[in-house]
Amino acid sequence: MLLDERFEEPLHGSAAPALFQNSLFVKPSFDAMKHDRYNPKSYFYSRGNNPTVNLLESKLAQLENGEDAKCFGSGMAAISAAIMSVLAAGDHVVCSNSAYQPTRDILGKYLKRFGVEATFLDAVDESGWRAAIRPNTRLFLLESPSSFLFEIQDLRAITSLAIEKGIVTIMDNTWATPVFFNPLDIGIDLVAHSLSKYISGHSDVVGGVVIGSADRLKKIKHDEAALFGGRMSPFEALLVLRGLRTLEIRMEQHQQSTLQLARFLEDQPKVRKVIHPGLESHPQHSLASSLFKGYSGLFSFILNTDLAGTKAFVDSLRIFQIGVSWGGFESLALPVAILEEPIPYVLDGQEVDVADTLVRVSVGLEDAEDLCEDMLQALNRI
Amino acid sequence: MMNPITKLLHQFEFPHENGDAVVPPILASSYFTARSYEEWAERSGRNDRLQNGQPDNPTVEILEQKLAVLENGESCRCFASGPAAIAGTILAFVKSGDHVLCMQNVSHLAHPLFHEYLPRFGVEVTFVDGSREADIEQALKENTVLIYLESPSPCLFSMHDLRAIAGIAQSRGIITAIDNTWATPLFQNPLDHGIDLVIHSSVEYLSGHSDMEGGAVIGSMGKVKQIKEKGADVHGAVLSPVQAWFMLRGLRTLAVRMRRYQQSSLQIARMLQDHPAVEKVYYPGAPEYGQQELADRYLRGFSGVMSVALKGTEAHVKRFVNALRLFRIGVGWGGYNSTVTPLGSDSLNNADEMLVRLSIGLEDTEDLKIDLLRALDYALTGKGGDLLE
Repeated sequence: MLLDERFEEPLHGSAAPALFQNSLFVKPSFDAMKHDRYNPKSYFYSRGNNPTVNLLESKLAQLENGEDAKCFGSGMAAISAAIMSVLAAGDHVVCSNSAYQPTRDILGKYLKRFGVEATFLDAVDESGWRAAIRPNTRLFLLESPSSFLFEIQDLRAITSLAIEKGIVTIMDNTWATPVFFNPLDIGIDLVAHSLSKYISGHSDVVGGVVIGSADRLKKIKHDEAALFGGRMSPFEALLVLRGLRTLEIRMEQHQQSTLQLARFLEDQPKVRKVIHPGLESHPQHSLASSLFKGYSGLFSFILNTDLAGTKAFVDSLRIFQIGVSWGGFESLALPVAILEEPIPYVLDGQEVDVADTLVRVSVGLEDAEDLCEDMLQALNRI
Repeated sequence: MMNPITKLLHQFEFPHENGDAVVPPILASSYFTARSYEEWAERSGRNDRLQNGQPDNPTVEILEQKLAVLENGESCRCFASGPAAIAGTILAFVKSGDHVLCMQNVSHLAHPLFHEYLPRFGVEVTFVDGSREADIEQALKENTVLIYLESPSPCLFSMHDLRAIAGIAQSRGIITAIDNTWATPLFQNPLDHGIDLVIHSSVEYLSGHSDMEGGAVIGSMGKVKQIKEKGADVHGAVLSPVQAWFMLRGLRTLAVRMRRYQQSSLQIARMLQDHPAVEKVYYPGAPEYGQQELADRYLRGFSGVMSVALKGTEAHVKRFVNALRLFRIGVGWGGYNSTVTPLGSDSLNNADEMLVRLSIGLEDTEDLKIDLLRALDYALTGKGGDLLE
């Protein structure tokens, strides 16, 4: 229920929540000040609690069926706080090798300095993850689908394995959004989101959130959030709250337009392969449909051309703009070649590097017919 | 030909002229400076809008351009509120000695202007029912300069025959202005039917998040220019760049929001009409709407505001309103949350009816239906109170 107002106690009965753009809160007396100083729920200083940010946190926790949530100034501040809250020197982490690059950098490079070992996996099935477990494995970092190739991890089996072995699980659920998937429901311990994408939805916010049990969140609030201070500003929180009002109807539209466009592209001779978990042609389509209630608007396709053809294609797009990020009102195309990183993919039974011809698109709220037409005219320029 | 929804998202936004930012910046600058004497002189020479103190602002201008296109108009002027838009428009076209015709059922936002302010400055105002064109023709005078209407109207959602009224007015050189707030530009475009000026006296649907006030008028280049010079700039009720930016943000989801409002409202209107606690439903999308032909001719869709006449007395209205859980009590209209407005003492409706106005929000349709059914049952029987927390 996106619009549940139980958490709101509107000032003067105002229909929209108030923006509390203040750094500190003042108290009427010595005793009140002393009492609030050590009360984790009191309004004392906005890095800890702020009514506008807290309202957003309550709503996000409810959306993910979690007990509590903490918002951060970016998706990376959120996921790094979640990771740090679980690990200590000597621990071992398992993560997919197609997870969001900065997340892999934290695990593989940054935390290495503090004595944390990381294994990066190809595998999407339970047996692969089982094989990677060591006696000191403390954390599974899950992200599904993967960034560019939309591989689906067998989340239920991998989570059961983690529970069996006493391993903590964190999942980045930004792609599916809480509308289409709730990781906590299958036993995952902590969910992280980049709020910059669908949840805020208007490409005007950078933010993140971690959601989970009251106990886990208590630690994150007390340690990582307070010590690293990567907090979300009240104004950003207000914009995210405003975005939540339309999250469900936006996701419906993103899903519908995206499936229409993906199917349209599948029929185009200049498109070699469309990679979208909602398509019957996706190798893990049945796994995807058993996990997700719906599909968001981010997917990839491989062009039947070379790098020059890919350039001609993206430069000819009129509605799709060239940019990173995703999940906004506007359609975006990202030619993966600009990352200058090999992207191995099995095409017709053979593993090849598809980086030059792989295009990731984020489908916005424009008319779906217009989006298909834009793609078609750009394909004709190859 | 690009779909209007696609255009709405992208037209008049030039990221590569704004530091590549995908969202237009908030240019909350009270004035704009020149880099040199020559640039200053050159701008003054060509009467540059940023230079010569006119209250134009690039962020507001994007919004105005988008609204103009949405209404199939040439130009738009935004205002700080709905009443500012109405006053700014009317005052640009009238002077002492003129006569204005106003439909009786226009929004209360227009009342102070037409009832008190205009007569004080020697402008005569006649109020007509306007449901028959003959009444309008009869009320016209030699010195009539303007006809003001709202269709569908704000409480009973009655409609006017726009083409007929525009025809009468055009043949006599009279300007027509309409408040199109209920339908929004997605569902009705009065300019297409010969009306001169379209006003949005509330931007609730356009902005959609119950967090800003504003107004707008759209029409031909010449008429909007006159409004800017003789109405808006005199009273100075400009829309702030921050508010304009919020409204641009709201427009991103206008189409998906209106679709949901329509879906839910059509179902709810049908359900209400069949309920024994309900006397009548006032809604252009209701199966028994009295002006079906006008609705077919002018409306492409139906927004989410309707009125319900309950059977019984004020006690029934009280029970109904207090039993609602998802509908907040307020004057709200077109926001994300559903609201209920008891219309008891409003002059715009049938005084003998027990009317409440509902604004259907973005909540789940089934949840809203359950909430309404429960409250209607309670209103009717006084039972089921134990279900209320």
